[in-house]
Amino acid sequence: MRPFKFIIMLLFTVGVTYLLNNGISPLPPLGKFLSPFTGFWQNAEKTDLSYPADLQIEGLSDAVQVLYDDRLVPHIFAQNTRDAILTQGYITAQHRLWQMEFQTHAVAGRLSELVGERVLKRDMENRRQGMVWGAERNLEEWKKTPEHYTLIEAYAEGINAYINSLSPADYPLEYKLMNYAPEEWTPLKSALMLMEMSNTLATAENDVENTTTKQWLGEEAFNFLFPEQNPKQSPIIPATKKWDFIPKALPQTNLAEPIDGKLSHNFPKTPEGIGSNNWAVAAEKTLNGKPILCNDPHLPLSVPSIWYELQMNTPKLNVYGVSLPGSPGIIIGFNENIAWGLTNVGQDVADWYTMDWRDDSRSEYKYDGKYLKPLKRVETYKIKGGKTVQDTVYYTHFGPIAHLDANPKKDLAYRWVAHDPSDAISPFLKLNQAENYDDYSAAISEHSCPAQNFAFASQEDIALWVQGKFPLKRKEQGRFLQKADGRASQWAGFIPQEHNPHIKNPERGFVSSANQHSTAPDYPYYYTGGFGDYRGRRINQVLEANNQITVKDMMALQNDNYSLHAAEALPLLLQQVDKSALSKEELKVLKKVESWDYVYDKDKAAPGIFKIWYDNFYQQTWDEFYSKDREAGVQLNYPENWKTIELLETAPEHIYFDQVATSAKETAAEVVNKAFQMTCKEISTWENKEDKAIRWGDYLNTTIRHLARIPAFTLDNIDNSGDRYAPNANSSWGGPSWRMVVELGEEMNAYGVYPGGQSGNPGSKYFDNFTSHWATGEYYPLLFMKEAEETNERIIITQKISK
Amino acid sequence: MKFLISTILIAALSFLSQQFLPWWSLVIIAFIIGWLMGLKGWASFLSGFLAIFLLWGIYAFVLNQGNEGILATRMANLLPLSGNPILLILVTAAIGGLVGGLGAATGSLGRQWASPTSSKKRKRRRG
Repeated sequence: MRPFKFIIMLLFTVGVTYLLNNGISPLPPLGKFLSPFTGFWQNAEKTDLSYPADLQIEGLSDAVQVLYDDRLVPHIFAQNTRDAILTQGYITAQHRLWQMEFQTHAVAGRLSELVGERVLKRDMENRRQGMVWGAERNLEEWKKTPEHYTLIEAYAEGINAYINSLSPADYPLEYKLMNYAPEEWTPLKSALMLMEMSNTLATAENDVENTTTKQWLGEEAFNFLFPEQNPKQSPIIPATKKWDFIPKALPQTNLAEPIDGKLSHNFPKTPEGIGSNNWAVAAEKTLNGKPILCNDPHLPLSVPSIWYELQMNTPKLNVYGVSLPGSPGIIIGFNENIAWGLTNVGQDVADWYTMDWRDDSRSEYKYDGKYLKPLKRVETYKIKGGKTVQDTVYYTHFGPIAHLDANPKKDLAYRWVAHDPSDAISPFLKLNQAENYDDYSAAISEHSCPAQNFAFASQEDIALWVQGKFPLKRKEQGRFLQKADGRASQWAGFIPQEHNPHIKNPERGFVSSANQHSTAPDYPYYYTGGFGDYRGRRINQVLEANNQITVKDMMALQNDNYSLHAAEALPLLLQQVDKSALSKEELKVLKKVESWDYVYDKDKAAPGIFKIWYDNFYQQTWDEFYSKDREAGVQLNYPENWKTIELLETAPEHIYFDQVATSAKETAAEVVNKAFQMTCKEISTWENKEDKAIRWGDYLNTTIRHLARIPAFTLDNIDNSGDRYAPNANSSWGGPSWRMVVELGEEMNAYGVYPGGQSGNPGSKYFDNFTSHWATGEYYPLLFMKEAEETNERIIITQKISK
Repeated sequence: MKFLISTILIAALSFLSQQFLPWWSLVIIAFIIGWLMGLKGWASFLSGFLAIFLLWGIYAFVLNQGNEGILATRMANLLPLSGNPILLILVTAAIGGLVGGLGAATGSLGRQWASPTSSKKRKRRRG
């Protein structure tokens, strides 16, 4: 009896312990996880935060001091650049280790190792797109500049020094939730991070969509609905700029298009609405007589925050700004002499080619009349739970076969600038130390992808370079799918760097960019891509009108919620409304929107009414597109908003306003009224569901999701103003990821804010402490020290680090 | 008295062991103490349960105080315990208590099996 009872009990105890230590998917191992000694409770960071006053980091050549200010921004004081960067790696890992590793796992197509089979498809897409291959090619390029590569290695050393200092109890929370451990950081991971930036920013193309749309509509209708230039645009480089160079000649190219753009399955579209603002105002246009530089890059928002703020100081360097966790140096910021800011360039640097395989085995493809073998790379996926999957990726003269179709004749190769080896880190490390315009222009001249509008200001000059590696293209090249049949269909080379659009000290007294076209149509090179005009036009209007600009004005402009899109569309919509057909309730809604001032203020009802109305109007106008798009394998491009509004203004009787589903012949008036009635219904549904009257902040509902989509760590209930067509370009999922205003004088007068916080730990009070400031448009004065002021009242923690 | 000593020993020793060993070392501690102390099955379970319930509960409570409930609120939304940190502390304590109790009870049964005389004596006393 006794041994039996004992053995049963023993097995039971061991079994329960085992389960609590290993977990049953999807539950984390509860015993391990709940233990206050090793589990998540260890991540409940003391609100009265402290770090060890003395620390030793292997690999340093000299002593380093780190001062943390009251917002947990580290100020690193080192004796040389290598030590500063090594410490940057260590400190960034201390706050953001999980984020850095998770992001690089995602780019490398390794999420299925952590999450399981449900993300395998996404992993495969990333590897077929050549993300790892591209990162490896970039890494080889970096090694060619040893004086900079040593800094990339130092950054990795710093991260690894932090990882090696951890016991499992110290692991960031997400490791415990997903039950895995951090692995060694390598320079390849920094390269992967930059591939991911290119993937977010340098993939503005609609090749498949444009091809299908043109074949469906016919060339004439396509050209009518999809003009490449908006006549109302206000380009980045003003139209007055003279292009005083002889453009590089284009060799003969073959732009043969395939028969159709239908594919066996759709591939993911780049999300709309990613954009940014930057501008610099010359001294003579400001009240204080000091130049001001501003930047707010808009990105899909997430926590842990995209940016990590810091200062780095050595005898040769003193720079402050935001960095990308995973990449050494500072990406956007200022030093004692200059300030710079970035926005994305919309040029299409990614083209799709249909493959001409010899047969369906994909073993040879036709190239200039000969047959060539693709390079094959076998990708292995070690899926959580033990299963292993292998996939072959084919590499050709036109890049990797990123779209592997059910029909090999529809396989698409992906020619993308981000795959070309380039040194993406040196330009920023040089920019961090730049003292004047010449240093700045030399530093960024090597930057290739993702192309950026680099706004610049020093006490003497303001400037802007549209900088990246841009393929030389014939008119309309890369706008549609192309046949991959030989050298003549490949890119013929690149625009010489010195011909990239740029401007220095323009007469108008400011430079600015907000993702619109880089140039007026007279620029001698062809380019296409994704551009937006409304924010840029608004910013230029405001800057032109003010000749006594102050820092406060600039903050107001970054937070400006005025939408030119609404200002141009709403009066036209209102003109078409037939009031006699509206009910009492509907008239009430109309009244609210009639008096609107086009400002997307969170407390107003009108922005929500307009938004829903315009979207309904747009969808009803392009109803033929929406119904065609539902056909299997069809992916269409849709006319731009400015074109839609232009059509409403100039041709309200146009055939496109006719509704395909009805036998009657509608005009814009019917569409506008139908859309308005649909809007009233939608609003009352929303109001009933939410149990409150429509209000923009509630309707907009900006939500900052956790990187691994863990709902409990998501920041929601953010009461936000703005719209994607206003300078304060907020949407439900994205917006200004960092706002910075720098007044350049003897002393730098700088302000900044970003949503989230310095710590990536959801158990830290520094995880989301900036968010409410950010949502209300307030700024923090940035603490920029010339030497380590331990006694500065804003310093809360001091650390001495020895080698 | 024996109960109290057993409880204190399990709590104190597993507090030490968890500083450098995995969390489940507490099961082994509870087993050994349960064996050595020779409490009856249920009493042994209770002693182990109470020891770890208090140890984990108090430690979690202290960590939560220092953190002003920031993390516990988030975790109690995730698990889901309707965002209530106190409930999360109780669940933490109960899970710890459960394994502590199981370890101690197993130890006591082991002792009874290994030295049948003592258990017979007890049986007689009961009878």
